[in-house]
Amino acid sequence: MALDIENLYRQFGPMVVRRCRRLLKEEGKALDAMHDTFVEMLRRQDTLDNEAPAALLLKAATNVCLNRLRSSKRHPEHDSDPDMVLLSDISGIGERSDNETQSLGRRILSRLFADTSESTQLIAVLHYVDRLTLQEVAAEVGLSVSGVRKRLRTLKERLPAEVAARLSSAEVQ
Amino acid sequence: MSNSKQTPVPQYLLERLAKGELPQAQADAIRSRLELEPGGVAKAMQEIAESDDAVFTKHPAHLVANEIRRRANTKALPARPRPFLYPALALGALGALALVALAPKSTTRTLNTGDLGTETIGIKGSKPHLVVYRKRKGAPQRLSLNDTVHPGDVLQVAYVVPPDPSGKAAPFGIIFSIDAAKAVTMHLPIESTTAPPLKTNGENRLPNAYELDASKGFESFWLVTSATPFDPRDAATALSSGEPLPAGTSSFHITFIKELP
Repeated sequence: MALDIENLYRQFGPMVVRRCRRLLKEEGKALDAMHDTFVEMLRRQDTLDNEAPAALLLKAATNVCLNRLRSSKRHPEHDSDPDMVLLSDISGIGERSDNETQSLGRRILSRLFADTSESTQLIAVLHYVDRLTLQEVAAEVGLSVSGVRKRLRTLKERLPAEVAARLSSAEVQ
Repeated sequence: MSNSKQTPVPQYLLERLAKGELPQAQADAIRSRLELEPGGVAKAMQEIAESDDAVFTKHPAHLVANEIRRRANTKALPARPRPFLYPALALGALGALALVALAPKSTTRTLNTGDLGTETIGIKGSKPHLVVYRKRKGAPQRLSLNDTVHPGDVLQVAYVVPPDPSGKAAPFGIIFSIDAAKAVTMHLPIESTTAPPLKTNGENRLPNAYELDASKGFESFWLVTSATPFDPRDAATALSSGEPLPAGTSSFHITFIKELP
């Protein structure tokens, strides 16, 4: 059955708008990202899991926003916003030259609606920006707490010291 | 969650709570945390409801839905033009969208598949699916979902369609791949505007292997089947435009991460 995009928006649109506003801070960009999040839903409707559509949309919106942040210029006015600094750090992981972190970045591009694992960047956003505890992140992404912890530890080990330090300072216990 | 009582409930979890998606225990825990905040659960939910109303006032559902559909169609176009090398599928009324979508990538070479072997592997699973191998020294490497591939890798695609237990005729099907630029390459059929009947005798490798081009991102292989003949262009166009696949068709896909060396 074709996805009723208007009905999906009626159910979840404002939630996606709020998510995009939170991550992008600018209304125009947030609305643009919201539209594209639903476009991805249309495109991937054959593979969608309907058990938790809000979670799926929130994660999809997060990935869309990360892609926007990665491809956009850094705004100096955002340097005073700790969340935006963290998001810039996280979204930029994929642009690093290190092969493994580059792999992470690429994977998030191609796994917007992945069939299996959650991306480390999504985990990082949930923990460092959204301030979910490790337990809460683990529940969201279907990993064990130790699995989430290991992902984040590995991520920080591959990042420059100052970036890793910023992430550590945002740690949620 | 030892610090949870001192930490405001994340908006992310509030949204999940409002939609009733959280497991009962977690939902109860979050409600308890909210009750420690000014206004408690009622205030948090009221704020979400008011925000919902404000969004709908400024961005009515029918207008947003139209824009989403427009983007879905617009964004189906690949980012860069591809040479048209598929004259048998001149598309006419289907227009430029399908034309671009069905043009094989000029940088993807088809190769003779003889050196990849011809063994038949038994049917696995109960639904039609694809099996993809990467050529390498010795035996070909069977790839799994989200494996990493590289430009220059030679991939051999095979399909598996289990025979229908009730004795129905073999389905018709097409195989194509799509990359991060939304460019579609048709692998089966090569020169036909009708999906061919598929074989149900185990694993059937396509006659040609494919060398991946230098684009990056991903490569996703799709198998679309139907009990009745259908036009490959309809399925490819639907995928490219974000529309549902043609009625009566089923699909399987497997995606690989494509990285530059």
